[in-house]
Amino acid sequence: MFKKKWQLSLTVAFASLGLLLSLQFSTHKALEKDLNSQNSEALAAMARNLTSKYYQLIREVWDLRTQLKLLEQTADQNKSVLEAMTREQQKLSIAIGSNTVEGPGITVTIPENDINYFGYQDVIDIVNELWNAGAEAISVNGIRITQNTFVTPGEEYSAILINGHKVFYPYVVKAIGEPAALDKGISIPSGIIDNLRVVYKIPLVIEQSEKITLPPALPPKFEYSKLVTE
Amino acid sequence: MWLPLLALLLGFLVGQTFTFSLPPEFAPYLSVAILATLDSTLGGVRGVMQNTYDAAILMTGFFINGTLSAFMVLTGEWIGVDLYYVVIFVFGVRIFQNLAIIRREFINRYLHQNIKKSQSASHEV
Repeated sequence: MFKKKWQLSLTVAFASLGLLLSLQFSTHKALEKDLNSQNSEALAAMARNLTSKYYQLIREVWDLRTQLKLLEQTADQNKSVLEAMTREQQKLSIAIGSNTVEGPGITVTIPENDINYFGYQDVIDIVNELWNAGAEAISVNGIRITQNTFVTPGEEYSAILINGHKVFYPYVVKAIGEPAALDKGISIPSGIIDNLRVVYKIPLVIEQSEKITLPPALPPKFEYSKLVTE
Repeated sequence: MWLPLLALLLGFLVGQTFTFSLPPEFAPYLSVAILATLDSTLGGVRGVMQNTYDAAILMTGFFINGTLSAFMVLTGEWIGVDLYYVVIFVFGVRIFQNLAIIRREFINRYLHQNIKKSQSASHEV
């Protein structure tokens, strides 16, 4: 490999020189990064930069804190608004009958009888009487009575159509409300129930209960009605 | 001839691969040591060119000059004289002298030889 005698030692010398050079390179690089070796002007500039950065960051922290406070306030407001809206929405969905509702109330059952005719007008009367007595939600034979429910006579004798659905004996009218008040409200002397019982001899059964569950009705569609806002 | 240059590159790469570095305070000593060793290696090359090469002179010069120059800077710091510049001056001058001699030898050996071959005449420039 080493044809001439000078090659070995010269190669060793050059390799050592290369090693020393690279060592000096990395040492010089470290020296440039070292704070102790920087001149005072550079250090002063660095300190100035860092100080202004520090104050800038403090300002930023304050700004962010104020923002956080504002956002928390807004969130609180939004929360209370949301709660109010939720209550309102629950009330409205009970009113339009779009959800299943439950609560205390009474059940009026009209069993099949051969004594007298019991027609759709009587159902309407009972429902009206219940609304009048303070009922909050009513259903007849599992059909929720809402603002657009219609009760019409069926083709057959003593058949009733509610929303176009045929219903038969026994008619079961369920109403949610204060049970005693509803009971008293519909059973006033010479009222509709009293008349049915006494005059027409229809064996009505009125039952108070602690928990009545009413099914939902299809939610109404409003295509033509628009709110007038002024 | 290319072997020493290859060794230089290899040594440099080895130094970069093993990233050991001295504390920054040692930078002035190392820099003068590098000047001294650069002078020694160039002296070695010159010796090869002039056929006066001696491995012992190269090796002793390499290590002793390097160490002594570093110690000279250290001594300068002790006695408060900037011997750093002395070392830089001396070795700087010697490096350029060596380079100049190498250049002349190179020209003599390769350029003029070709001219001799083509013109079969020798000139002293």
